[in-house]
Amino acid sequence: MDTLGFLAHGFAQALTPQNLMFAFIGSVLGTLVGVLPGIGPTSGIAILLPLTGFLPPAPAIIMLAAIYYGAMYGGSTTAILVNIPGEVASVVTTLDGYQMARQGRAGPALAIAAISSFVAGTLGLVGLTFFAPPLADVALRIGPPEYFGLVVLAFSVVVSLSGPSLVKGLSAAALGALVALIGLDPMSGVRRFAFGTATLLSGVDFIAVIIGLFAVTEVLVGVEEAVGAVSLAPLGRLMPRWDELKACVGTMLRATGVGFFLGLLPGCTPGAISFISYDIEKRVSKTPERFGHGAIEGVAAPEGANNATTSGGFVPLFALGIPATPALAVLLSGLMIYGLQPGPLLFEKQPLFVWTVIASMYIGNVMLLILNLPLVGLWARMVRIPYAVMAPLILIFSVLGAYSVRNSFFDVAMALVFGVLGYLMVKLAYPTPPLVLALILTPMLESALRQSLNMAHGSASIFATRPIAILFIGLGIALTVWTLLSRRRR
Amino acid sequence: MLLATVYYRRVRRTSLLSAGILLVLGVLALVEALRLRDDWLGAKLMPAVVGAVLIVLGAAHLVRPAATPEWPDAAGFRRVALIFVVLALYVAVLPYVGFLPATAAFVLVLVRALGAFSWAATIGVTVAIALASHLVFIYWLGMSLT
Repeated sequence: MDTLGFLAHGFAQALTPQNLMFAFIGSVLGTLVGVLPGIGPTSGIAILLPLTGFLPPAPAIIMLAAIYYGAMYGGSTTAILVNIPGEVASVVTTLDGYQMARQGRAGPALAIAAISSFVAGTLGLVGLTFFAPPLADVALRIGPPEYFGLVVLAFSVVVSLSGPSLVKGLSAAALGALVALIGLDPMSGVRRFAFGTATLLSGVDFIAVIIGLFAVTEVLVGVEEAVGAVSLAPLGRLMPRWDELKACVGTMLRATGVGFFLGLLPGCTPGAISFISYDIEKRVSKTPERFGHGAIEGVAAPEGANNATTSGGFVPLFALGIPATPALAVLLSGLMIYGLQPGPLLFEKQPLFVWTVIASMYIGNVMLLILNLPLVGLWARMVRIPYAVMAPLILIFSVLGAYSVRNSFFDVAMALVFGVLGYLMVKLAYPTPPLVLALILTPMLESALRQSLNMAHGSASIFATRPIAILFIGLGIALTVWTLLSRRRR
Repeated sequence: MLLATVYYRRVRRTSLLSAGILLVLGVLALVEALRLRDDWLGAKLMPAVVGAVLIVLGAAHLVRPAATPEWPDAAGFRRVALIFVVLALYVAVLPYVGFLPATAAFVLVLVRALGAFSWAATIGVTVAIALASHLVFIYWLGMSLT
């Protein structure tokens, strides 16, 4: 069957009432996660994971995916109305979005954010539809050395996620790698870092770490300051003028291209790419001086790019089993809870499942457009929920979310430990995303490396005979050097 | 001049602490790698690599001290500590007290500490959150926390 045939089958499944309902619930929850500044997509997916526990895999993953891309829509609402980005990916949106709101044009800003999100998100999905299957096909033919090269490439992300200090970013990653090694070694069955205890034998659960590091940490940082009442800018008329829309068509297409193709690369998070896209628009524009003073393209570019990136990130996730962002890493572990190993075999063994999820993402984008255009005023009012109500809710979800994966209070305790660690890391300016990525990539790196070495009876020379592995490792090094150089320039 | 000295001291202290933690963890990983009885290509490979990386990074902290962190003011820090202690207590008593009473008490303390609500509003919010979460997680999703 060809791609379109598979997609049609996927649509037939995605349009069943149950799957539609969970795509809708996911879209609503995602928008909420996006709107509320206290909680981001990564922690949002992690703490909402137990809600899907009773579902079959397809609706569960449909819902979790919808939370992820839904959050990208919602993030712009508060960025525009109150100058508080709901997500990192919407930080750039505040530059021109809030200016537009102050000039009484909040409505058009919100509308163009939703429209651009929809256009770029959907075009990104078209890219996903046609890129992922051939990539998975190629990936089927590669062995452990090539896979090792791929994971090395994915690890190069850590550098770009490091923030201002490379040493701090790498330290966070090394910490994550260390935590990943705790427990039984899956290849030899040897106990590592268990110190004779039974609890550490089964390792530290990934979801518990995420919940601690993101959700609990976010609350601890959030309660530092007593948040006062937030005042909302009036919306004004909603739809942008015709000429404004026309001016944004090129912007949306460029944002899609930048977002999707950079989104394929591990480590290019929606947050980073929205910056790049904004910068490109400013350079391309004939009137760059308008940017920062309420240019509508300045809203369309980052919002489009972050949605295209979100779609693009699913390509390496589905085709290679490699998560490009922490949020996708949570989604990956959600898949693994169901015994579904993302990677090239997923398209071969579970075609209906993959295509159902992909089809549901097209549908989810339509739902989000509807949810965000006419109902935007409703979401905007959510900002007014007092933090005293939000904080206990997030913490209850965190405790139950950490508990639910393995029904274990040890995992809840771990979430608390990583909550404190995350708080200290934030305070001392250590980035947390590298820790998360290292935590999920280290087991992949280790098994690929050891399988490769076993193939050559312990000789590292096997990598020299594998051109594709060398290519990936070379790409990883090139990407690292490029990031380091552009970092120096800044 | 005095300011500069204070600044430098705070910088050094947090950097030293981070460096110490990384070095200790690095040594721990190396010791664990040595303990594992197989050849260098097996289970001990990654612990050894990670241990070495941790030690290098710990040492790097000593060379280039980090910027001083922005700690919250005393009131903010008290709030952070209070929330964490209450959360830890909540988790500790949860399996013994039962979900509904433990959660209600937890929410009550948090809402009271964080919000400027009247008692009536506080109790209303508490009852709403506790009942709603009980309904979703225990009644509907059938979770049992024992």
